[in-house]
Amino acid sequence: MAFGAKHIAPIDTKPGIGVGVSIPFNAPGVFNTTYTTQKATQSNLINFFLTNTNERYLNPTFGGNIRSFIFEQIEEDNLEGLKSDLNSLIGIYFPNIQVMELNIISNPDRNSISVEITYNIINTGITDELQLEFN
Amino acid sequence: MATQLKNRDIKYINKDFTELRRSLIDYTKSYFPTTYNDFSPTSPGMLFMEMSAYVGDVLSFYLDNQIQENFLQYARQQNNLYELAYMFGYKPNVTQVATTTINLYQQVPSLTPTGSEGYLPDFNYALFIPENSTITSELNNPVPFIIEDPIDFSVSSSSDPTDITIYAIDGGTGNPEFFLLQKSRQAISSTIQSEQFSFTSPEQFSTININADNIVGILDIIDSDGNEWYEVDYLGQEMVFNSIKNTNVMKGIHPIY
Repeated sequence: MAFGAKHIAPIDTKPGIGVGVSIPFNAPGVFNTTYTTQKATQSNLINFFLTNTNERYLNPTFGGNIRSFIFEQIEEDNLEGLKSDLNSLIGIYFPNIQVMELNIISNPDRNSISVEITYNIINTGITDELQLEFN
Repeated sequence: MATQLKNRDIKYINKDFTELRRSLIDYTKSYFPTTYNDFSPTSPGMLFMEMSAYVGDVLSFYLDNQIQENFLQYARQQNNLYELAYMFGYKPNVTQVATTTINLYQQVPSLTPTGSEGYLPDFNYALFIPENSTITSELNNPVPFIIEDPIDFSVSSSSDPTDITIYAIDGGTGNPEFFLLQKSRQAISSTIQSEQFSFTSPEQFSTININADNIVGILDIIDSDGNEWYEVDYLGQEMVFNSIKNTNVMKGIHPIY
């Protein structure tokens, strides 16, 4: 194996091939297509965080359940529990990514929480981060 | 013996959520290989496919349900069972009435024996009691009963036997003087009431309401000209067969008798 060889997802070797659908759905009339694994994974993570548990048909455990969480009392213990749950669920539903850092920042005055996640996509060397705010 | 239907679920197109989801994925792989390739459950695209599969699953359920309710052996809803049964000519008893068995007796004289035959009842005296005859009980509060079937004492068969016994013996000769005929009939506790309705200009599927409770059935419908009207299975039916008593008077004269 050559030193410093760069891994790449097979789908990314074909630039014109669409991978998934981008979030948010802000294209006029049609969805925006994602053409790289990095962009597709980012949209998938957004989709995961925006989904509550018991929301997906026949897949009740899918979702970060954050929209439900913001209606609960925001305390340090709760945030740690949420962080632990998210780490566990991401491990289940995103086997191709490795979470490097996951921070949940509360802002009780605005009744909101922010989720910051830094991750890399396994075997590709791609590192990305995502920040979402829920209120 | 009726067959017990253990599996009562009809799957008309046999498509549920899983099947439809798989079909959508196959369809996308076949027709949009350059547009969409992420079939993981986390993908937003799969969200839409699963929503479509869910709608298909619900529609498939309703379709199966509708198909199922069209078969008498599979229908579950009571009103559908009734409607299907009506289609096959079933007439439900909407009113339950008391029933009893009534024994009817008639005394007839004996015939003078001719030849080798012994004493026999004289069936020329046998009564014929028409259908829907009313009999009232002899109680403090008399209850009327209706015998729905006619009674013919002159006819005896395995399905409708006439029990014949000697009723009186001539004191002088010791020979039977009178016989007693006995028949049994089922009777229901009810009364016969009549009501008149006026029909003027012709009207399609005209309906009327009978102002009475606990109606057991309609005995007959007679118009002002004396014509009897019959309930038929379909309006195109133009012939109603009626039973008549074979009096045997034409025997040997006309072949159909």
